[in-house]
Amino acid sequence: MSWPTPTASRSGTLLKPDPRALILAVAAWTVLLVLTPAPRALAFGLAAALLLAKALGASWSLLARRCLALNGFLALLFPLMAVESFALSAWPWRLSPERTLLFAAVALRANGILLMAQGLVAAMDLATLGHALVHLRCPPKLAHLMLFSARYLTILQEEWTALYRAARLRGFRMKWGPHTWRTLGALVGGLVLRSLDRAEQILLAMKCRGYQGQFHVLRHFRFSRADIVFGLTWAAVTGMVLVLTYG
Amino acid sequence: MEPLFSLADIVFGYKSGQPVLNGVDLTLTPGERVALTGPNGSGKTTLLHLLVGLIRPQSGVVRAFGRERKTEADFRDVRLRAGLLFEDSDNQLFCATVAEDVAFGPFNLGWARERVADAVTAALKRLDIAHCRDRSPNELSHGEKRLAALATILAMEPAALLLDEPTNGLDDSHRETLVRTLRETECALLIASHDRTFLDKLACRNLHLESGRFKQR
Repeated sequence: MSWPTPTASRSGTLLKPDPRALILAVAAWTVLLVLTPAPRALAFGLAAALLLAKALGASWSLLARRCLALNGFLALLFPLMAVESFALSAWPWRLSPERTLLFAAVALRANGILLMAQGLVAAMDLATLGHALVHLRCPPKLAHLMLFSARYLTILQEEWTALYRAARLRGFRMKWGPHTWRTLGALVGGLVLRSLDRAEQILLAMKCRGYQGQFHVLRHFRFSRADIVFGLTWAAVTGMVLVLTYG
Repeated sequence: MEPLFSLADIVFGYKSGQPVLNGVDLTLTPGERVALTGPNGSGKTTLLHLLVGLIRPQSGVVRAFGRERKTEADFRDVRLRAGLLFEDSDNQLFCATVAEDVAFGPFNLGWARERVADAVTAALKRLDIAHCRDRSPNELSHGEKRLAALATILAMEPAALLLDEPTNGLDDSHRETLVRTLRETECALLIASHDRTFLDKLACRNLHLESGRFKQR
């Protein structure tokens, strides 16, 4: 397991726009697509989201993997949604044209939103995302919970690996039986105790540097040329979706 | 010169059994370098934690920066003026990037943003880890983590540094940086360590803890 790191810098052609703008753009995009009924507007939206994600530096393989997961799920829903009467007795099933069209719209919508979110926000490193959320007036507790998780999940993972490896080096093998359960119990217990101890030490370390319940943010985002380029592109794409819907 | 810290007849024990510290006296004057040695479990870490009030003695007097310290409120400003380096750097680096971590203390001191930014840059440069600035602590090597943790307290411009096993896991070049930085600093140093050669390089007065007391060697 690996976590996105703050240095996973993007190197897309649009270059780094303000992360807050990206988060807001994805939120607005989601609302827009959900409210858009026209399939051609949705198809355009999907294509635009793909290009934008690509321009912001998302890799094809990552986008493909994310889409595969979503569309696998949609494939399961297909018979439920597009068949006229979905029952074993109604075999062979017949596709209903209107329902198939509806399904296609749902699929386009879902992929369009996923690609936009993937390209704009998911590629953002967690540190940036956390800070952007703080600046967007997200409750600081939630933002810090996310940042702390990002920092310490890796360490928990390392500690678990170390404990499990130590057990295996002394011949432990996972089987079905009381010995395995007891050992796993001891390992998990060990991990919990270590985590509690660590949490306490972290609080002490924070106190030592004058922590009094407040986190200050060093980095401040500044308006830059990248924001203008991104803003114009995004406005053009949004406008086009609206034109295709109502034009 | 008035000492930064003075401990008088300190007794401290964890819940059960023998007290870890049993009648310890200590003074640390400005600019002084003191080595704290002793076998594992002899109470070196406990002593450092007592100085900044993370734990309180069962009896004895802790004086710091000119007055007696008893309550949590008493110790708050002691912690801002004496930087404690923890044994495990992962516990000390809890922010998303090294720069944020170094900025944490100075912000809590109430400094203005520009001053904080300058202090961060200076501290990282001083320890030769400017390249780690925007990296997550997760990505640093053991030695870099150690130096980054030191940077977080150096940035606060403390009068004293209390270092718990500072050389743990350092390779030669990081060690050199550490020695150079500690030699240059005007802070008083209290260093708990097993590392004889390191302590010799800093020419410290030695205090040896054993069975709860300081022993002459």
